Amino acid sequence: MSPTHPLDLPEICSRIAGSLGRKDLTSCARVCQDWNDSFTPSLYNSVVLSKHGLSMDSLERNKHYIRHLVIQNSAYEKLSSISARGHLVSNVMANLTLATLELDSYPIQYNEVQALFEALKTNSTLTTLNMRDTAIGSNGAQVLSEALECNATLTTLNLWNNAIGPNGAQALSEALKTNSNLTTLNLYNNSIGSNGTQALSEALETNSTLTTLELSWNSVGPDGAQALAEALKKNLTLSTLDLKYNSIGDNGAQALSEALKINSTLTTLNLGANKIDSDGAQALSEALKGNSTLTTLSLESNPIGDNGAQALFESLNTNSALTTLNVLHNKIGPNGAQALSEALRTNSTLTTLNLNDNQIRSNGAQTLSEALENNSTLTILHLRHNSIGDKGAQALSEALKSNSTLTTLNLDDNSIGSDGAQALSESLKANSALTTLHLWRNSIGDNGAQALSEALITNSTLITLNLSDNMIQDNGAQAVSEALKSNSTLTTLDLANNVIRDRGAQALSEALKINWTLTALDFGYNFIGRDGVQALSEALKTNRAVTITGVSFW
Amino acid sequence: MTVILVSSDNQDFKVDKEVAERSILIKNMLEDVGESDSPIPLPNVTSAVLTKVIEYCEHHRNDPVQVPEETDDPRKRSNDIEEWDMKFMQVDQEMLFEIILAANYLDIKPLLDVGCKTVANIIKGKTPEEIRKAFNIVNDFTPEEEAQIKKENEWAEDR
Repeated sequence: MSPTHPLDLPEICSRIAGSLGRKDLTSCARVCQDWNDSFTPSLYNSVVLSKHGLSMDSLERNKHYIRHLVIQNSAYEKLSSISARGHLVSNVMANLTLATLELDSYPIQYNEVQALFEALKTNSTLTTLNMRDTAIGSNGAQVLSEALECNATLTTLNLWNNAIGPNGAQALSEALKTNSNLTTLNLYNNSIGSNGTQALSEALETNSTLTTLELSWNSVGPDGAQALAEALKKNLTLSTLDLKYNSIGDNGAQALSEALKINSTLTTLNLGANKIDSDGAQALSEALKGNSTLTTLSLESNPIGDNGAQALFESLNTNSALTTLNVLHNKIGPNGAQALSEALRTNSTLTTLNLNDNQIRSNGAQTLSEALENNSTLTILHLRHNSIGDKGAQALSEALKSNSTLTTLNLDDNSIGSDGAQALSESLKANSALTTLHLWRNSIGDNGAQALSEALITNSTLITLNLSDNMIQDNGAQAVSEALKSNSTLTTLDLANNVIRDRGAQALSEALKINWTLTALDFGYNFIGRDGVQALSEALKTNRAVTITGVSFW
Repeated sequence: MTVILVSSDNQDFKVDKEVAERSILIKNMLEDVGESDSPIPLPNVTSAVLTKVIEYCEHHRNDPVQVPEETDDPRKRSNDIEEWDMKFMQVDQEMLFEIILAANYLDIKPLLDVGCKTVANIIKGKTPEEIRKAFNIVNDFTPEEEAQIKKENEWAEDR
C-alpha cells in the first residue's frame, strides 16, 4: 500500500462526493471512522431539514460545513419549544460558512424573526435568504430592514407570500436607501399596494445596486406604476422589473411608457395581466420606437385586442432592441397578425414571439406566412390555440419551405387536421432548420400521422415532435414506427392521448429495437393491454437509450 | 519533440512533449526550465502507474484543454464516463487508487475526474456494509456509535 490513501485527501473526497447523492453520502459516513471524517463535510454542505429534523447536537457539531440550509415546515414543527426554534435560527446564522438559507412554509414567530434578523446584522457569509410563506408581515419586514442597514453581504432576498403591507414596504425602502449590496428583491404576492410601491420607488431614485425587482401580485395599481415610472426616469441600475397581476391599467402603462423613453437600463419588463387595453399598448408602442435597451417585454393576458396589437407591432418596424415579445392571450385577430407580418418584413431583431391563445385564424396565419418567407431572425414562434385550421397550416408550410431560421413552432390546438399535417409533412421534407414542432390536439388522425412519418424518413433536423391527443390509431402508430427505423435525429416523441392499441405498441417496440436515438417517448393514455406492454418491455431490454413514460411496466 | 519521465523505480519513459503536457505539473516544469532535454523525475509515481497514466494521456492527446465545470448543483452533475475511459479504469482497486493519486499529483484533472467517478460508481446504491466489503474496510465503530451516526444523518436518507 502507498503511504497516502486518496480518501485521506479532502480534495479527492469532495470530488468523489460530488458524484454521489445524499443517501449514498450517509452510507459513506457510516463505513468507518476515517470515511466518516472524509464524507461528513460533503454531506453537511447542503442540508435540507424536512420531516426527520436534525438533532441540535449534530447541527452544532457540523454547522461549520453548512453552506446551503433549507428548513421546511415539517422539520420546524418537530421543534416543540419556541426557544429551541430561536436557538436553531441564531445558531445557524452564527456559523461562518452559510451562504444560502431557505425557510419554507411555516409561520415564523415574531421573536424568532427578531433572532434571525438580529443575527443577520452581523452575519458576513449569507448571500441569499429565501423566505417563502413565512408570514413575517410588515412587522417582520421592519426588523429585517434594520438588519439590512447593517448587513453588507446579502445580495438576494426573496420574500414570497409574506403578508408584507405598505408599512413593511416603507421600511424596506428606507433600508434600500443605504444598503448597497442587495441586487435582487422579490416581493411576489405580498400586499404592498400603491403606497408601498411609492415608497419603494422613492428608494429606487437613489439606489444604485438593485438590478431585479419582482412585485407581482401586490395591488400596485395605476398610482404605484406612476411612481415606479418616475423612479425609472432616474434609476440607472434596475434591469428587470416584474409587475404581473397588479391592475396598473392603461394609465399605469402610459406612465411606464413615458419612463421607457428616457430609461436606458431596463432590459426585461413583465406587464402581464394588468388590464392594459389598446390605449396602453399604443403608449408602449410609442415608447418602443425610441427605446433601445428593452429586450424582453411581456404583455400576456391583457385585452390589447387588434387595435393595440396593430400599434404595438408597428413599433417593431423601428425598434431594434426587442428580442422577445409575449402577447399570449390578448384577443389579437387577423388584423393584428397583418400588422405583425408587415413588421416582420423589416424587423431583424425579434427572435421569440409568443402569440398563444389569440384568434389570428387562417387569414392571420396566411399573412404571417408571407412574412416568414423573408424573415431570417425569428427562431421561436408560438401559435397555440389560434384557430388557424388546415388552411393556416398549409400557408405556414409553404413558408417553412424557404424559411431557414425558425427552429421552434408551436401549433397546438389549431384543428389543422390531416390536410394540415400533410402540408407540414411536405415542408419538413425541404426544411432543415426546424428542431421542435408541437402539434398537440389537432385531429390529424392516422392519415396525418402517416404523412408526417414520410417526412421523418428523410428529415434530419427535427428533434422534438409532439403528436399527443390527435386521434392516432394503430395504423398511424405503425407508420410512425416505420419512420423511426430510419430516422436518427428525433429524440423526443409525444404520442400520449391517442387511440393506439397493442398492434401499434408492438410496431413501436420493433422500431425501438433498431432506433437508439429516441430518448423520451410519452405513450400515456392510449389503449394498450398486456401484449402491448409486454412488447414494449421486451424492446427496453435491448434499447437502453429510451425512457417510456405513461406505461406501467410490471 | 520528446521528453523523458523517470518513475520512482528509476525507469525512463520517452514520450511526446504534447502527451506529457497533459499533466499540468509537467507542463509548468517544462515552461520553467525552458528548452532542456534533462529527464524529469517523478518520485511519487511507480513505473506500473506511470505506464497507465501515459496510456491515458496518449489516448486523450488531442482533447481540447478544458476546465471542467465545477458545479454545486447535483442535478447538473453527470456520472457518465466515456466508453474508452470506462475500459481503461477496469483495473484492480489498488491500481485505481494509485491512478487517482498520480492524477492528483501530476495535475491531470480529466483523469482525476474519471477516477473519482469510477470510485463513486462503486459506492452508489450500496449499504455501509457492502461498501466495506467492496473496499475491504474494517468497521471500527461500536454498534452504538454507528446507530448514533445513522440517527444523526437520518434527515438525508429520504432524498
